Amino acid sequence: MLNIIKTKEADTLNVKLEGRLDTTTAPELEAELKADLGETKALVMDFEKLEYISSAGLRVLLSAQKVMNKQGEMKIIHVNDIINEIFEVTGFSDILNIE
Amino acid sequence: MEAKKRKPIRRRIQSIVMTICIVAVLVAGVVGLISMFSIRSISEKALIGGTVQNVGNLAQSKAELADAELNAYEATVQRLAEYIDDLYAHPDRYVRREILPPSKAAAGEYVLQRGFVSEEIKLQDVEDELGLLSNVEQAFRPVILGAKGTITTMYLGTESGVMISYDAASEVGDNEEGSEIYFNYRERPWYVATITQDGSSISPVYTDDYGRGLMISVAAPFQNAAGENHGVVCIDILISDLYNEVVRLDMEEEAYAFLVDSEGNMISPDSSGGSIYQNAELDDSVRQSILNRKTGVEQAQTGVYFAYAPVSAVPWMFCIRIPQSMILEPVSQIESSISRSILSYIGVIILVSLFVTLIVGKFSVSLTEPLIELGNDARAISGGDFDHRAEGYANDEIGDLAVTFNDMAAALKQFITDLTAVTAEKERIGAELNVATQIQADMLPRIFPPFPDRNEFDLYATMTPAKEVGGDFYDFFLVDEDHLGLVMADVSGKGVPAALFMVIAKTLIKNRAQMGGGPAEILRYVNEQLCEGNEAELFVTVWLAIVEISTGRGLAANAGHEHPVIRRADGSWELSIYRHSPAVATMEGIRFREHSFELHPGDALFVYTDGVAEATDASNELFGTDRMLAALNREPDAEPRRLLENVKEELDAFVGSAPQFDDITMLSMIYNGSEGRTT
Repeated sequence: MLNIIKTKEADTLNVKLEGRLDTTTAPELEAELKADLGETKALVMDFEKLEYISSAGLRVLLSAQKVMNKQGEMKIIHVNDIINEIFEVTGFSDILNIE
Repeated sequence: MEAKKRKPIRRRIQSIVMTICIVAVLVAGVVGLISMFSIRSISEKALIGGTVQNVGNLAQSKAELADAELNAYEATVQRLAEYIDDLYAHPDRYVRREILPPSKAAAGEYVLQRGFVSEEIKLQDVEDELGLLSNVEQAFRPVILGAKGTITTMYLGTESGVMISYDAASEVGDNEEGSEIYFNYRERPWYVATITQDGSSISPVYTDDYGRGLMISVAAPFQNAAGENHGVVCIDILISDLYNEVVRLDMEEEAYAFLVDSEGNMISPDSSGGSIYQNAELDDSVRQSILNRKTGVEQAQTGVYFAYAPVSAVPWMFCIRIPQSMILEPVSQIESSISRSILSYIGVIILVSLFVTLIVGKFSVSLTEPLIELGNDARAISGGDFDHRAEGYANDEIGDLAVTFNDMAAALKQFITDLTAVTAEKERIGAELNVATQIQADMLPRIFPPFPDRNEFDLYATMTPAKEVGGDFYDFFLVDEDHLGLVMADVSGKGVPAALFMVIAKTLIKNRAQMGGGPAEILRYVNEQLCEGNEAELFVTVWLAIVEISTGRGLAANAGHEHPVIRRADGSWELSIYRHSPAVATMEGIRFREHSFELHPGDALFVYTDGVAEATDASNELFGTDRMLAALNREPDAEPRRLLENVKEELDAFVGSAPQFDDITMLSMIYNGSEGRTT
């Protein structure tokens, strides 16, 4: 189960995730992002209530990071311990802009 | 649930119509009967009332008629008396003719006949008076002729002892031919009662001396020149004649009329001598009314109606007897006519009902027949004959239904055709994926022990693919005589793209590794290669280790992969946690961290993919690394194959019936030292 809460302010897209970002829910997030990333200059992802992220979820984050590298910047905020450990272990903390 | 009792539409329509018809027949019958009874009672009253009035009127008018008739007779006699008065008053004005005694030769003709009151009277003494009185024939003849037979005899008698009779029955005289007859008329009631009177009188009824039946006599006195009563002139009237003329009713036999005299005698030709006291049909009340000369209609206790009215000329009553049954005859006629109408009406309704039921039956058959046919058609279609068509239905709702069925059959056929095609396509793809899965599995080294002549280490690995072809792989190979390469990797995503990516990654890693260099160098190269044209944006987490077999020293690079597990000799299994590098193919230009380690004889390694740590049970709980370590530590010193089996067992027990989403891939190696296995 994953809740995706999107808010848009000018060029900034805020995405708040609640629940599990895994094999089943990753395609939802991918579709949601694909629909809105077009003109976005800044993508802010709030992981405060994200409980789990799988390799499929990491792939979606990676894709978004690659897109935003070309047209602006992307940052992930409020990363909790569980998710942070996953980022550390997978080396994604080297790639992603985590605050 | 109990099945409802089957009620065919046809049967229902028929029973409704039948019910309506039966109710109609019953209602018609009841209404008919009620109206019959009410008509009957109304008409009974009306008829009885009407008849009573009619009969009363009839009795009155008949009595008046009898009065008029009797008065006419009295007037006639009065005229005769006046005529005779004139004879005596003016004897010189009249001729004298001879009157003979009764003669049989004259029988059948109206002639004057002489007679004397006694033998004391001699012809020569009264010859002139007889001659004078012969003139009465002038007066008698028109009366007799005008009376049309009701007057049978006319006669007169005088104080001087002369009697003259005028009749057509000369033969009845009992005298010898040519001799005189003597008859003491002065003692006869008609004479006695009249000679002293001033006017005419009517005698009571009496029986004719000559056997002609009941008679009445109407008599009047006449005077001589001196104005004294000198004699009586009289006419005889047969009651039967009077009755026929006046009393007789043109009615049926049960109804008849009769006269009652002051003595209570019933005067009618048939009841000669009968008395109202002897007649059992009358009751006292009626008798009293008659004797008291009342006018009215009364029903005797016997049920017979009697109408009575007084005749004023004589002390008689005119009565009509009429039985009730006769009055009510029209009622029973009406009754039977009404019941005939009711019966025929019910008959018509029954016929109409039968006809309607027949028509409705045929109609409902025509209604349900197509439904049954359509049911057969639908069964044929549902039985799999999609080319079957429901045809030949009328253009109505059932026809619409038939068209719908046909459309459904066509749609079903199309759907099944499509489904067959899609299924075939899916089966083909599925078969190809199975082949791909097989090829992928075949790419992994699966012959154990892989290096039978090397006893410095023991190695075992397994991959349990999920349903869909995935991207897990392991690998091991000798880089050279003294270096062993170990790979555990997991491509993000699933399906054919992941499988292809895995093939490329595996090939690149092995090939580059065999060219020499540390794990970081190898992964850097592979990363650059995989990032080129990686439109699908797949990446692969890799744990790559190169172990120097002779020393047990090794270098490992962990590109985003799970933490490896290490067991030192005589110790337990523990996660080896250190900072990882990003996964391979995530970004160009990544420099991978390298991590050195040392294996001593008896030390063992265990690496795996997330299919192990992230296996979930039915309630979505993760297997997790803790359970995995516990499974490993069940028999920490076991050889690699046994270790893997333990983990797999625990994993299967944990997951239960939940489906396996990811490939489960494990590899374990135990380092025996450069000297080889000691055991």
